[in-house]
Amino acid sequence: MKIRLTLAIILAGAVLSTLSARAQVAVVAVAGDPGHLNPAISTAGPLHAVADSIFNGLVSLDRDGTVQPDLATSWTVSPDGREVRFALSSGVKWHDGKPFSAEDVKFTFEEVLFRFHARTRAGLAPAVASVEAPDADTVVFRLKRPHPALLRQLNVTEAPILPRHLYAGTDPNRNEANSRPVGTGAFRFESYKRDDSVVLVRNENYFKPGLPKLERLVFRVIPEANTQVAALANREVDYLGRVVPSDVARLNGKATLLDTTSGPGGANCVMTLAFNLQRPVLAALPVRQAFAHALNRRQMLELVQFGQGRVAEAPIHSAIGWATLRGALRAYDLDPAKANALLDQAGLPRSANGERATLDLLMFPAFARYAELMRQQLAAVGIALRLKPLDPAAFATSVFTKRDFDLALISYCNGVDPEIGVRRMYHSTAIGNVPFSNAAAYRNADVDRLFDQAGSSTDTAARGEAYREIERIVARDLPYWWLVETDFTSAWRGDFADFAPWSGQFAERAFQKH
Amino acid sequence: MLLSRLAWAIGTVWLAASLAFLLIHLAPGGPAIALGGDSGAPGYLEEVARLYGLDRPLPEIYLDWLMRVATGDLGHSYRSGQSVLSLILERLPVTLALVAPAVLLSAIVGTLLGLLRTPRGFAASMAALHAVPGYLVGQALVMAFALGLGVLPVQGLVDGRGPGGGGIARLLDMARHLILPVLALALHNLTFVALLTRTRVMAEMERPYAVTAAAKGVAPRLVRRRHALPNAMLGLVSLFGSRLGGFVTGAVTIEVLFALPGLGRLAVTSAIARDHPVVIGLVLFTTAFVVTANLVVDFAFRRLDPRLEETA
Repeated sequence: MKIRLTLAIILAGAVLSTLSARAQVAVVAVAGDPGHLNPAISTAGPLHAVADSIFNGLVSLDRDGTVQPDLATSWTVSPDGREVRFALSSGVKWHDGKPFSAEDVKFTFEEVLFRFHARTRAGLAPAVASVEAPDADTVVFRLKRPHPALLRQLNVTEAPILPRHLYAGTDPNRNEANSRPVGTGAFRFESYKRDDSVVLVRNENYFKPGLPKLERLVFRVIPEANTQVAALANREVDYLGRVVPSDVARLNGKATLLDTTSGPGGANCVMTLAFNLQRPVLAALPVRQAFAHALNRRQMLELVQFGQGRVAEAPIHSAIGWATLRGALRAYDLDPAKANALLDQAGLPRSANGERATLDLLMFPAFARYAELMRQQLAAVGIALRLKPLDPAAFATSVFTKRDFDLALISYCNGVDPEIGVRRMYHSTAIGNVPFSNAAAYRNADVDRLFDQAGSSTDTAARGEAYREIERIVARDLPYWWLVETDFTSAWRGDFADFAPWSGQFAERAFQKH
Repeated sequence: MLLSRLAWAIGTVWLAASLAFLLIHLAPGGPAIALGGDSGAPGYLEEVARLYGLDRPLPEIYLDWLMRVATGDLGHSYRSGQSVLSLILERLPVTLALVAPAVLLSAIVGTLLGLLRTPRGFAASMAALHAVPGYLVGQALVMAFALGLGVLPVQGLVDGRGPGGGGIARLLDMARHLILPVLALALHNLTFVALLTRTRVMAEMERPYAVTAAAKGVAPRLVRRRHALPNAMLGLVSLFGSRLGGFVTGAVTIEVLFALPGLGRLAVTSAIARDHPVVIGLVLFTTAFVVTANLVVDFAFRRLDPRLEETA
């Protein structure tokens, strides 16, 4: 009797779930709870994975980083590069029916993004003198100096536009709309259950004709990578924004489509070893050179990334083709004998037990496999690593606030322009209590000057030359050792098409086949 | 008697919550990084610390917290602004739906298994199963049932594509989703109960009254059930009671593995986000729950065994 009842329950559930699977519904797995859904006051990953589908930026970026219209239909840059004028799409409505206008854009930048969005506040606000709204359909950015990265910093991930009528005169951190968001985006908010799910539904009045195609977009919070993959295989989930490298082979060829990109919004991340230059042992250049010769980066790519990426060839990510200096790191071939010689020369002889020095390596627990491999590789040249996995809050405090570390393993995401994510690693003004800034505490007046020069020129060729000069200098000084360019792999079930994993608005065009 | 017990219970809860308070405040990193994302701007960390009053000396924060807790106010979450008590009560049903069936299952099935005349190697296999963490048991169940047979869902409380709403269909859907997590949580404790019942009953079977019963010609099955088990039960109940806390902590890993939105998940996300009021509130709440459960078991025990009533 009991068994029959259980069977009946299972069957009933199975029938129900197949019946409801016919509509255009996509279930998306996200690894963390978003917390709230206001993408303009936070850069947290899980939040943007969900909220970017509810909002729009002025522009969007396509797969290769080319700027495309979003809320802005066109733009012109003045000859001196100090004024950028945007024509906005007309007739756009917020999800609550109120009209969207240039005032919303001005308000969002001045009152929210420039104050609370960490990257936009640090990377864009200092270059902007004012944002003006001469009429409802026009926005003008007046710049203190030419800022060539501007357009690429205006997509929905870097600069989502909020409704002024709901946020004006309030504290954006405590506004109720943060948990019941109203945007202009392809999907409208329906419900949010913490640590469980967020449900979005199609915005019938979306300003892009014919879009979106999906009726419902359901985000399920699934913290375990293994469970995410099992859920995809079991047809409970249709889209995984990020598959851990070791699972890629498991998913391959199972009616699942895999797409490899350099990260959402052109993240272009480089797994990097930061040397704390304030520690006497690591202040010696030969020691850092020894690390570069001792670490087997190809092994990291194969054993940790399962081939999802490339060995770093330059300090700047290879996807930023006009700025990267190919072959910049060629001098540091894998050569443990040379590493040993350099360490001898640096005055770090082997002690009785064969060890030269013991150093702390701090990292996120997710990067533990890199750390384990590094420990083995460095043991061969007599350097012992003490691994200290720390959660993000503790890591940021130890490395950037207290500067209590020898080595830190950091995934530095370069973004689509070196101004966004490279400058902060090297500029002397970026040393201090700011998470994921200049961890090495590297200071070089020439490098500072070249960054300032490249950041205020509109001539791409001249900028590229300045960045390559920077790369020549830092490849010689080695404040960091650049390990692997890590690719991101997304996966979705074969009956879906047109997901855009490189964009925050990844589901804008997606649909379910047949 | 009752009063001193109660005083002990309250003292335990206070101590546990205060320890949690200390640990989370002394842990490096504050809520700012979790709130602001990966790369805060200069001054942002200090701003957030000021906003939540975390720039004050620790004893001051502690006294402030203690005063409020004494009046029943657990505070508000940094992350969501929601009151801590409402957050906990919102998640409690999910954890109860996971823990209660697991407790019943392991108590009933475990006892029955322990009473069976079992083949050789039974105890060893139970002990081996008991040694496997619930987390791995869960993974194995996911592999076998969901991927191998494709019958049961591997995550969540309800079907993501489902129409939502309530009614019997939703309850059935939830039940389907809870089968694997409940099994994963129960198995660890079920094996424990089975082993314990077996050894206890075996010990009782050698005592004079059982030997006498057997000598009178009572069937061994009945000696076990009617004579040995009731006596063995006494020890079982108290030991089982002391393990209730284990179900609650076990639920944390199971909720993470099966993506269930219960108290365990709340604890993990809040700890990572340094959402101090929620973490401390949860410790307070679960300690109170376990201490109360133990009190209840204690009194139940006294009812079961009148001899204790006299010695107390």
